[in-house]
Amino acid sequence: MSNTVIVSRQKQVQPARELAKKVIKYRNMYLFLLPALVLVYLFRYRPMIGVVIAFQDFDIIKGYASSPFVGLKHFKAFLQSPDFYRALKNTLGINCLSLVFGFPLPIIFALLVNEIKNAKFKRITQTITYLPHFISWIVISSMVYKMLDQNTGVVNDIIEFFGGERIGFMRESRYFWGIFVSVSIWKELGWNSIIYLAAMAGIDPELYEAAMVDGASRFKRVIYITIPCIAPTIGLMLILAMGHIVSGGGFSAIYNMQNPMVADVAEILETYSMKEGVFWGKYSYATAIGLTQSVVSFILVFLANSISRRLSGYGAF
Amino acid sequence: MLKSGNLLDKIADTIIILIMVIFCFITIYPFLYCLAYSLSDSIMILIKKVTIFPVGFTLNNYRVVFRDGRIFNAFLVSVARTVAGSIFTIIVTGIAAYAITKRDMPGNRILALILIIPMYISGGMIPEYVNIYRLGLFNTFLVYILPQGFSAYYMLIMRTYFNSLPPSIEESARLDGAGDIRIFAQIVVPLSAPIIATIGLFAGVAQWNSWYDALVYVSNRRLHPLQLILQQILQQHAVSSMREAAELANVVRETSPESIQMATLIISTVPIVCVYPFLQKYFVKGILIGGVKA
Repeated sequence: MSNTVIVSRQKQVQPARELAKKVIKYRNMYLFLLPALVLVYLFRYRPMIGVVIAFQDFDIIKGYASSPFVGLKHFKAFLQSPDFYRALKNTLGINCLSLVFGFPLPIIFALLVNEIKNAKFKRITQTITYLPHFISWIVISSMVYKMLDQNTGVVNDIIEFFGGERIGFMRESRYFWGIFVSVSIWKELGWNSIIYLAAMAGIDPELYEAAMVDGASRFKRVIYITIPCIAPTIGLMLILAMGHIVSGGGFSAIYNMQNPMVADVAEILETYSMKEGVFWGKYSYATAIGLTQSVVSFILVFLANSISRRLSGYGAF
Repeated sequence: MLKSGNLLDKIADTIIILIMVIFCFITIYPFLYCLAYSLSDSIMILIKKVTIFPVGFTLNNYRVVFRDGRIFNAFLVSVARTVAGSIFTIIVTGIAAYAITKRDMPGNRILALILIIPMYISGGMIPEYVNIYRLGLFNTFLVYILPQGFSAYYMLIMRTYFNSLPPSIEESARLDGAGDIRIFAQIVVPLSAPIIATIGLFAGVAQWNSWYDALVYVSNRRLHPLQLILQQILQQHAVSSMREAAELANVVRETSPESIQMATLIISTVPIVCVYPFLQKYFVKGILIGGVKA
């Protein structure tokens, strides 16, 4: 007892010395953090400071310091551009479709997988359905173009077999959204179900046993036990998905799936601003669009979170 | 009552299995179709349709792909960036993750926060592009390795794993006089094989599949990875300029641009298909840990 008192008094007397001692003790650990800190500074924080170019007439040769500030000029410019509105319309359309169809399906898929009794079959199903997640969008879009090809694609072979006309799927605007959303869902369905399967694995088995004693059918057990138990996870994922409405992170997907013939329905904000910025050198204009997207999606997630808090008591943060 | 319940149960089981089998088939069929296409004779394809088996089986397309200097070079670039990039990421992220498990270390929390904030906020595509330009990394191999060298997400997964190791092992090694670096290299690392494999898979797949950095930062064709070559063949094909695609492969008579594309596609897919099923049980755990934290 008296010992601890002495120790704590010493701590108060010589905090700086104690601190120095600890720093020396952990000197190697600071060294361990150094490479990560350097990389984060160089490749993450520096670009964050770089968003000032949205308010400048940025010249990549002159740099930040010598480029003139122009206020909201580039924000006004994109708000007056028809190309921007076209990209906005496509972004909202594609992302809303992806949300409406892509959000519930992994949940349903997880519920089905969870009901598989044969452990080996369950594992094989999971292995197979996770596969497309690991394949790049370039490969996926090559496959889609090949399978839907008007002359040699297998889908058109099937249509022809049943007496239909061969269709140039990737050349006509009206098919693009449907094809794109279906392929996106196909690619990530298995992978997105992992989080729900994990939530299901955490449910207390006693709940099911009690329900069985009470004579609840299998379907009722899913409705009254499984779904309520994973509801917090569903809510959390839904809040996070709200941010994807204005910036879906679908850049890689769209960029590789689009082609000039369907550009009117396939250009989204990310691909539009990337092309304006990187290919045409309109750095400030493109950054203004990107910055606006980030701010709006941040607000959407925040709103979704506070609505969810008020309604259900659950929130992501 | 009980009997009808059992019967319903059986029917439900059958339906679920049927749905799963159909879905697995839909998942795997496009890959099989492309594989069959890549193994088919390009002239036979014009006569007979490919469904699931190759028509006029031939390895010619692959021979042509590997003889094509550009595609072979791109394959080597992809292998190099995958190996170098994932090793670099594992080391940088792994040592950082180990350091932030030291709760007692002064400044631990603020340093961890500095590393984690960029998970939620980023400068965006164009400021990143300008940044890479100003760092002078255009047309260098390093532009593939350095920006992806540290990932906060991987760090959180690894930290959780390191925290789960029993502290007694480390303590007894310290009593035996081992220093920090020796403890990490000789005790922590060998105990962490599963998490290293998981992060290695994630980082490796990310590297193997990367194309955007090559597209915008690298104009030197000798540094282009396989994915970018595949993208170029695809885009040329999409605007149906078959002649250009044929020139790219430079093999008009032996095979068709489409067959070349399919063979390249299979070559770029096979390494992933071969590796990931063996690591499945690890990465599912990794995702869960990360998912809970994030």
